Amino acid sequence: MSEEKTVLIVDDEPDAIEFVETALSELGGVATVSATDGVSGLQKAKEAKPDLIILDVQMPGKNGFDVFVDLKKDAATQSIPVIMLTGVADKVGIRFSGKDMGEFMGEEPDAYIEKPVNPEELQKTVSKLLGL
Amino acid sequence: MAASLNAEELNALIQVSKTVNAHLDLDTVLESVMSVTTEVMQVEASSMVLLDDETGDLMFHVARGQKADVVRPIRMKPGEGIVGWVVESAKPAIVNDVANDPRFYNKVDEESGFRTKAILCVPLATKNRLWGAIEVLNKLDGREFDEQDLALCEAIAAQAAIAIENAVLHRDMVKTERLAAIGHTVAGLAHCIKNVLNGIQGGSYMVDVGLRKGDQHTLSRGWEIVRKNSSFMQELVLDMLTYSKERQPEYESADLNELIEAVCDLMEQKAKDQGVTIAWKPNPALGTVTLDPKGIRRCLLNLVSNAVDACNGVTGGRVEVATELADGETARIRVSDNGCGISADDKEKLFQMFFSTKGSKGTGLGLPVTHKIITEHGGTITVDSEVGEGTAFTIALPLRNEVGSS
Repeated sequence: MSEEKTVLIVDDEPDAIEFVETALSELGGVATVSATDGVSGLQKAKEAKPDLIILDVQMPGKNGFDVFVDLKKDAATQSIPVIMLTGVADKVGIRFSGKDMGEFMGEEPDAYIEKPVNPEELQKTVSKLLGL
Repeated sequence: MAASLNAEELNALIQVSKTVNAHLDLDTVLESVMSVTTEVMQVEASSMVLLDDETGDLMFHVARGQKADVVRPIRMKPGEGIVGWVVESAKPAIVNDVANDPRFYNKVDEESGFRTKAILCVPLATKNRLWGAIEVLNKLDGREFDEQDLALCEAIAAQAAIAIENAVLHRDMVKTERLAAIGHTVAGLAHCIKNVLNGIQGGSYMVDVGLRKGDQHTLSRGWEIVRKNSSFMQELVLDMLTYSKERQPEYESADLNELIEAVCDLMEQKAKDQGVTIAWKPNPALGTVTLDPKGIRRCLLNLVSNAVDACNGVTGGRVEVATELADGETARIRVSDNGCGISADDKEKLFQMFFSTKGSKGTGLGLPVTHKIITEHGGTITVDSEVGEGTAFTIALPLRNEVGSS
């Protein structure tokens, strides 16, 4: 029996977290942990050492871009694959916390999924990145 | 050559200058300018002709003299007539015998029945732009137009052109600002609606999964999310309607303390869920008041709900709602909390549409709507806040005693 994989979900909307958890529950072999803000998201990433992080961009305070940069700066978390959940506004080049999409110290998230998240697309992307 | 103006002409110029600077509406200014011009130059008729931006036609914007009404609706093609020549070459023209000038366009005379003998015409121009021309016709004493007349007319035209330019610039600026505000509103709305739709889609998916797997928990959680977003939509629409309409409050006689107490009761559960206490301190001196109960209730719901949210994460979070009667004429309502407080920066944007510190949970319309309702009542709302210490909103409503009495 293959080892259970852990996915960390960071999103300021608890409803959105529940939705992602429901989608992932269909995959089997995936456990989830979550955080509702950037700071505790980073904390959980260091503690739980998840196999994948699903990161919402639009969060008050530390947004998804900020969290991504910090993840990549820290040796403990930099190799964890990341899926960014974006809203339409992010794609039309509106500056978010001073960072344009794609400008993260030369690193790029492994995948972008635009909200409203299509459950099948999420499941496929997560499966691929987790090697399921 | 420098022609000097006599005292009377100088006075006329000063009068024109005063009118231009009096910030009256443009048409009034231009009419006044032409009245002064006609009088001081002692002519039979005069007109101000403006260039139509799009077609290049010349329109009689102002006309003075016996046949003014007939002249006004006439439009001339670019280059037509002496005035057309002046506009095209941006140079003045003195024509004391129009019959012998090939440029003269006699259709206007034909239509109006006026007999033009002499024309003095000067361009209306500011540094960057040609707006049209001023022309004066037929000196009353029958004399010819001379350099002195030209000097005066040019000085007057310079003033009028400034007035026109200012008015146009102002109008364009207002239009740009208005468009920007509309754009901002549409963007804010779209963002809000998008979030709600995302929520409904997510919840619906969970309902589907729950039904498919016979998973009651997922099913009911999903449904709860759909329901929550639907009522958020209702709130949003209601807020937008309230905010966008010019309304008069629907005044009724009501007990203010009772109204507020009902709001506190309603918020009790939400507060308890978030570990916050609500303290209600009514002042019994405040009895029946004339107000729009639905509107004031909305305001209180908004303020108390915000106060509870502000205490999120604060141990011993406490919201206090108090009323008082000030100077026998004003009802004061104070909603305070010991929550996170509002920064000086945020305080400035507080009553702006779609400004929210709650991420996608707030409509961003609560406070602007509250502010509008209070203002419609002739009241005021002020805020005091320290970051990390708490916030207090104070509403002051004038008491009206037409209906009922305190």
